[in-house]
Amino acid sequence: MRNHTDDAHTINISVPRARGEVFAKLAKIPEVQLLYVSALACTRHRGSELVEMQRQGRLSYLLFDEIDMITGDYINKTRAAAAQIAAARNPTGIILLTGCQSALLSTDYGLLTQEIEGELGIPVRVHDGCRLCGFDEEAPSAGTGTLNQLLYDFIRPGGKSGAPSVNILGTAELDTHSELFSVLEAAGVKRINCLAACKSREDYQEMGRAHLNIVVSAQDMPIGPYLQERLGIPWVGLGGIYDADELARAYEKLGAALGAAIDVAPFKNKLDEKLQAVKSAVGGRAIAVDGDAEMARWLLNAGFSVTGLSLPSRQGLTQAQRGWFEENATNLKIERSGRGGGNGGGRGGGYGGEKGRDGGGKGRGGGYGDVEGAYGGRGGAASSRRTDAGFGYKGAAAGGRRAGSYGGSDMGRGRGQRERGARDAARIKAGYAGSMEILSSLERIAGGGMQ
Amino acid sequence: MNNLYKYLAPFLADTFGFQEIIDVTDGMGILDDCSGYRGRASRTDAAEPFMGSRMTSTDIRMEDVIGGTKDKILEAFRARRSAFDPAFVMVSSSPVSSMIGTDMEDAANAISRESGLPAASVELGGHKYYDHGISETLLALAKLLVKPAAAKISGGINLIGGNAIDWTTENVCGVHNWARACGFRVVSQWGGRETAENLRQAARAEVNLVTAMSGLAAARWLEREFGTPYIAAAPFGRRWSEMAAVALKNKKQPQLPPDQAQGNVLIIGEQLMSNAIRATLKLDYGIHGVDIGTFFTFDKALASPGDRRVRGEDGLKAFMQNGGYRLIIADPDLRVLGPEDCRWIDLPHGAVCYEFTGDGVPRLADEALNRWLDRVLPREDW
Repeated sequence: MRNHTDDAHTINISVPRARGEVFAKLAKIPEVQLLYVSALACTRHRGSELVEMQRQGRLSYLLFDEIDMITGDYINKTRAAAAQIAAARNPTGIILLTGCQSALLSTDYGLLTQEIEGELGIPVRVHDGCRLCGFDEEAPSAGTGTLNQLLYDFIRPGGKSGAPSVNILGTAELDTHSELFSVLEAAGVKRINCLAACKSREDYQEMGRAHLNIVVSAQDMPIGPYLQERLGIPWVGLGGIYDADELARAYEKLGAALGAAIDVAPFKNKLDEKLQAVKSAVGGRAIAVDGDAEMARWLLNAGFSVTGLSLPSRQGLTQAQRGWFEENATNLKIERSGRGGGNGGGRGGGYGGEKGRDGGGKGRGGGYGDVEGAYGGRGGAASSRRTDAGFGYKGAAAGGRRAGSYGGSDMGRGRGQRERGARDAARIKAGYAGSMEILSSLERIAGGGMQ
Repeated sequence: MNNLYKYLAPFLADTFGFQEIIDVTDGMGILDDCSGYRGRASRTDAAEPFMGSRMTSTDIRMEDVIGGTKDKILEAFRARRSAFDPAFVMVSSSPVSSMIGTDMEDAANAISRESGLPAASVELGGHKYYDHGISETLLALAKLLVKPAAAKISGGINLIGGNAIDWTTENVCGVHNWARACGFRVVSQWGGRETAENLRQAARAEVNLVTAMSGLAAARWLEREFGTPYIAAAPFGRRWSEMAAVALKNKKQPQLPPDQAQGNVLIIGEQLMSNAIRATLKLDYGIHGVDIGTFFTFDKALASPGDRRVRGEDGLKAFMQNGGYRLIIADPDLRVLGPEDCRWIDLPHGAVCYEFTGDGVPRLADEALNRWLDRVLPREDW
């Protein structure tokens, strides 16, 4: 989270939405091959991590030229390249990534991937985010879901594991101090799976045997119902919930799904106490929330003076949210920021700063991971209208260097396995720990600790 | 499949060649594209696109596909003009704008009308290699800037094509120094750091020295327009550099006697650079049977019978593994496809090596190549 004061009175508080380099993110799926289909010029935009992926045998490039585009032969070449890769590397699946020219060609990649899948007998998907269309992680690709859904799209349905197990899903990776882990342990969960900890196709497929999916980031909530339909795994959402009572209800639901009574009273009480203390410290100072309507609602409901809410242009309010704000926050000014999540993910990180018009670009994004503690924008420059986008891409990257991801391992031996360098890991603390973190940030700012 | 790269990072594209040339001039480049490219200095990390560059981009978005990008080109020019204070403006298309069909020439003309600056365009599609981009940019620059000369400068030459992607900046400077040490007056250099003012004077040279294949198109145009003959040779290596100097004075292409030896050594790289290394191996070290392969511009008139254009990973692998070579001199990234039982000398190439820093590239100009070969050549009976 990045907070700062943009004048003497207003506290700006914003939530990073974990975004990451698409290739690195998809390469986390064990033993899946990435095939980038593009013009030559599009292949050297990225950093040297792509070289590493190629050296590891995870990434190939298929280049097409003008003649391929005119004749449509790039379709045949894509099919042939996928077959060659499948024969040589025996992957669990193939993901096609496409460049800007593919977007202009209007290729039906949904159909193409189906055909290739039929020919090869392995799942084939596409991610068609590009610099022209933007890297909108929340927009579905052709014939596929969102980028984050794609991460779990290769899991096959399996029989339930013997010992209770859960999957933690979503872009946000939980800090190991989250109460979720002790709660799960107390509920008798023996194994927690998460993508970052999957080292082999067997680890990955183990996720198909989980008893429950827990989605910990607000923007990834669609993954829950998606996997419930595909794999038959029920789900509980913990992302985007801040209110102590609502969290208690979410944990109650979690307990019901696991068949265990869960006592979150100690966490709830602690959060209630903290809330009172921070309210005293912040007083009537105005707060502007960037990027998260639920956080704004929670703070308003708790009695804080939230005067501004800035949302990415493509992120709407639900009917319930709109109704609540109309009824309870007549002074709240809601703004749309940036040009939408569409181009945000890519642009903000890579280019926003340079142009000076997308704001929230490189420099500010980088600040995220460097701050002491968990969150809080060092500097948190004023033009955070592009926070969602600009911050996300770079911020997530920088944040990932510090973030630890909770390793999916048997709880009895090695809980807390840390994955350093997970580039898309934004240390968003879901649950009570997340709310506590926000309050701590507000407290620090109010006390002059972070300007 | 020629265009499937499973082991090698695809090489630098033409748009990067455009950027490379603009960056060493006092002009300004506008890439009509949806993204900016990292420059040579910052290509290996996550630095800002165009950091330290004289380039900017139009930042094309989907809505521009309908509305066109001409206005964005003008906007990009206005936004950065004061920062660059350019002597000229060069506009280039890219994969996206070439598909949209933006009239780049019209956009360049509009810039010129508005600013009074000389402006021209280059049509690049992002599908060809860097050398094509360099070649097209140098040619466009020549057409834009060079004016007829009242008189030639005695001993005046232009150095055309040598660039930091092929050689590093040190070697570009090294060739410039070599030319001056030989008594030539370098009127302008095309590909190395240069001002528009000097480029304008290019017609005053008596002869042009094409030092990399990407300079050939500009040299041929200068010959057509101003009657300036050219020699194609990179002045690397003791005796080959001497031959190049003599050739420049005589205005006649230097030639090596035909070589009947079987393939001993394979050099993979830019053709003129590789030719110079072959000549030096032959003339100064007595090593015969040297073949050359290149992914880039290949001119049969400047090649030996065993030389060839290489296409794709499969072509490279077959060439390297089936030739029975005892030694390969090439970029280290290519080693992954090379034969295991063959000696290898690393010669990093900026268009091939993804993480190119230039550090591993030796000094090549004049006798510097010999000093490097003295150090790296295996001591065996060739």
